[in-house]
Amino acid sequence: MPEAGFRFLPPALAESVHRLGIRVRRPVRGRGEGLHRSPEYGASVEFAEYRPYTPGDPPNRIDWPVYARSDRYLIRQSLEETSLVATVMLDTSGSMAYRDAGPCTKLEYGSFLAAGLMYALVAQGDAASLFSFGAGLDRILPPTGTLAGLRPMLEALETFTPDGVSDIGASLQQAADRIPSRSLVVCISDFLQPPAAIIKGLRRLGHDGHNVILLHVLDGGERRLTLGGVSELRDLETNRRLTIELDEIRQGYERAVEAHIEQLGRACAEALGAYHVFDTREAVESAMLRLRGGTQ
Amino acid sequence: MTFLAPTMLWLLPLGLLPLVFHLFFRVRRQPRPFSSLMFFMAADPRLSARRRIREWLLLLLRTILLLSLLLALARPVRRGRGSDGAVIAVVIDNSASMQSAGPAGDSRLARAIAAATLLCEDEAVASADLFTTVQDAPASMPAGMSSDRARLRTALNSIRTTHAAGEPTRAMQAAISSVRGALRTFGEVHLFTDLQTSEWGAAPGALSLPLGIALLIHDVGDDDDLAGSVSLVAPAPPARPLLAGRPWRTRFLLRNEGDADAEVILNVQSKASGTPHREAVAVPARGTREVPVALPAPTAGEEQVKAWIEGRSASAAAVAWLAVAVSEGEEVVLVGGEAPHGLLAAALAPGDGVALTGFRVASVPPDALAGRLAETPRPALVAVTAEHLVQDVVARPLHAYLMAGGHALVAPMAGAAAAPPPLPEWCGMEWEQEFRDDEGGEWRILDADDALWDELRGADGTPLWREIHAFRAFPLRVAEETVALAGLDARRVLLARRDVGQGRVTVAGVAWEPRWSSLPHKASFVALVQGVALAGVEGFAGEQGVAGHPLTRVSGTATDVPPEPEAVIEVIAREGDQGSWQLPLAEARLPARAGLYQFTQGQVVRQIAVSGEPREAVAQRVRGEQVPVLSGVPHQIIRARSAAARRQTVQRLRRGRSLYAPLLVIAVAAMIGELWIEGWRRKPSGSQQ
Repeated sequence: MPEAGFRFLPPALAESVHRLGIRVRRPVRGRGEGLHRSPEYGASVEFAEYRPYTPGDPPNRIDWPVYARSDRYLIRQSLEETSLVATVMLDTSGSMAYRDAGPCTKLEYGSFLAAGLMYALVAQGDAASLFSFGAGLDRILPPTGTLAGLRPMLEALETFTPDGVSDIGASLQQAADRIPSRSLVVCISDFLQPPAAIIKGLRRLGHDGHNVILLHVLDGGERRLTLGGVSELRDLETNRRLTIELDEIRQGYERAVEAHIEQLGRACAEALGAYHVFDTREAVESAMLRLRGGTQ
Repeated sequence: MTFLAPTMLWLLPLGLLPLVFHLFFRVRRQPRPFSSLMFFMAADPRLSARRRIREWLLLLLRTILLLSLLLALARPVRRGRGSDGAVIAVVIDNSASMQSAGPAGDSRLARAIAAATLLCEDEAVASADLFTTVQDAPASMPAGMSSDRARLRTALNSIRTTHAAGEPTRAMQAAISSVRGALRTFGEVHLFTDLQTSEWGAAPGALSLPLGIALLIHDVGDDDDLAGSVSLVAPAPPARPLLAGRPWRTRFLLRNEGDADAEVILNVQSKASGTPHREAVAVPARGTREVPVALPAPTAGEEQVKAWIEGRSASAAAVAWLAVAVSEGEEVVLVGGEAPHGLLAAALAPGDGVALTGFRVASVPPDALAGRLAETPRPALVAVTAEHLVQDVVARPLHAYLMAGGHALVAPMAGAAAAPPPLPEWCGMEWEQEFRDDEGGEWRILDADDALWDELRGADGTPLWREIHAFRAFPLRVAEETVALAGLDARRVLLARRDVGQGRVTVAGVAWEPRWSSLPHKASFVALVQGVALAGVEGFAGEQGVAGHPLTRVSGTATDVPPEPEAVIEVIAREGDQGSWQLPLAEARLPARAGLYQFTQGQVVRQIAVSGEPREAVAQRVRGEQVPVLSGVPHQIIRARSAAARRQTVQRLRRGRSLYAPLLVIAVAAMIGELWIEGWRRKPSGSQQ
């Protein structure tokens, strides 16, 4: 149990995610024994396949009961189980500062999610690293598999401030360049970018054999406009202004948001990943329960 | 403009309230931060610009609504120009197209004069001046503003239609100047016209309208008027003088400016014919038709031809006149008898008379030439051999005759074996070495554009001049001012012409007999020598012009009128409208009606046949509310059917009108517009897509 005092990992959150049980769908390459399927064969109890005996194999690996039934020398192979190294990417661009209907900004909510995830992963014997990104990768905190090693990451979360424009697609590409293949990548962002670039980054990660989880953080006022009448809006990232009759465009706007969400979800499924939308009005503790099972 | 409730004007600033509110809230409104505008732009990228336009439109409509309501409360009245003391100028279009009449038989000019008379008799008019678009000497216009109603009426009734096109800019300028000079309270220029596009549809003239003067255009034309589209172009005079007792032909060109085929009756009457020749002629739409007409034999003196067309499509200006001198025969003098000139006499007057060619050949001994040249009429041509030209009794009077404008033809003597003696220096030519060739060297035309070959030209315009050979010749060495007409090649010239004083001499390098050249046996020889002789006949066809055109634009010889600004020209109408009058030289124009006229200025007398203006055949009229010629000045077109209705319109314009109702209408329109835009705005965006 972490000591009290980390803003984004309060005891209640740590308690709720302690046994979250994050699993991955695709085999991963890990550091040691763990809970996740490895692409290699090993000595676990999980049966993988039979193969014919070849000279040089230790005779004690011959499955004698099978020999008795089939009069053939076969070697029984088992799956190897390993731990994983997860990378948690957190969007710190200007748009993450938005707060309207929820109790906190999207960056704060994303920080809670990142802290909870990292804690859950370390608690189940895996390792986690933390990347922050905007137009590209900003801060990179190396992976740790211990609770003590989480400290600098939890402290770093408290220093992040939302600023600048985001380029999620480019950031995913940069992350793919740095992360060894077959791991878990969790991206926490509001994904306010035309989907094409994001999908390109997602495909790159999928191609590298990564398990991908997208956590789409939205303020309640973004998905369902709470504003009305004539308003002059300012883009938090580009500072561009737009005077608009919100009642007039409400339907079109909400339709565009839902289409964006649907498009991202479909792209994520194609990359064998998982996609979750979070409303900042929802309590983090209960929201994170949706991550039980990870990408499975 | 004046206001019946001016205190309400203090409320006018309230009309700016929408603008104030708009700006106030604009200043107060802080932009709201939003995570991204991406989805708004995806919903409708043009929404912002459209919304802004709509917002400003609403603001404008609200401001108009308030301002017009507040102005209406102030009860504004637009004051007219006045109810009395008007100084007016009346411009009557008296061009040919104003002869067009409606089914009731009333012409456009009659309608214009009736309406103008009624207008001049209005009590509000203090004084009036009259102008016409075509200057017409017989019309008695007042010299400046006049308040004498009877005199104005007489002057209006003296205006008649003409065969000319009007000069809109000149007439309007004169009318505006007249009103400006007499302006007291307010002035008006009234133009009565049919707004024919050929006159009023042209580019704007240099006009300016001073303040206090209104320009009112009274359209007296009617679509039911019979306005002709076929014009008659004056025929070209014949190329040679007419001979007494010989029938002749001429051609008339008819042009149809309309969009439909037209049929007219062409009437041609000559002095010799008595009854007119009548012929139905179909003229294609937007096309022309050339009609040849045979005319009876004239008597000696002058033949006059008048042509006009009749029918629904005939233009009122389609009248053409032609005057041609009729000769009993022109004389050609052969020095030294006919024999030295070979076949020249036979070519000039075949059959020993004037009946065929109009030329009479007279042989004169060399020593009698001086006496003959001193007589009148002067011979058209003097033919002389080089052998006779060396004699002083021939060369001296011939040189004087040429200097005074005579024509001479010089050639070697027929039958002479020796080389011809040298030519006098004033000929500007010398004989070259003799050319002999039994097979014959071929003559070529060296200057095919010269008028000498006109009677030899074929359908394609090239002279018919083939297989003419020279067996013996003395080519000419020519000076710079000499025109080489024909020869064996460019260096061996056999026929050349040179101006000597006011006359000209033509020199041939061959004698006019078959031993020298095959030319005398050819038909082209007849045309050639007659062409040389015809060049010496001048002034047989009078000048021609179009009614109303400046005198300097008359075709034919250049004007001989000296530039004296104070000088006057006396005009006598010989045929057509009779009468005589005088014109200042500076403004000298052809009369406005077709006919035969004599212009006399000092010793110079010119006979001019004046035809109608073909441009007046255009039936199209200006349709819009702006007259192109007057587009530089504000004007108003009044299209009323009767003279009384026209007067009522003018009186209403003078009185003025309340603007209360129009302002209320504007306010209601602004309100409807605002409601419509609001309704549109409140539609959900989904329904817009």
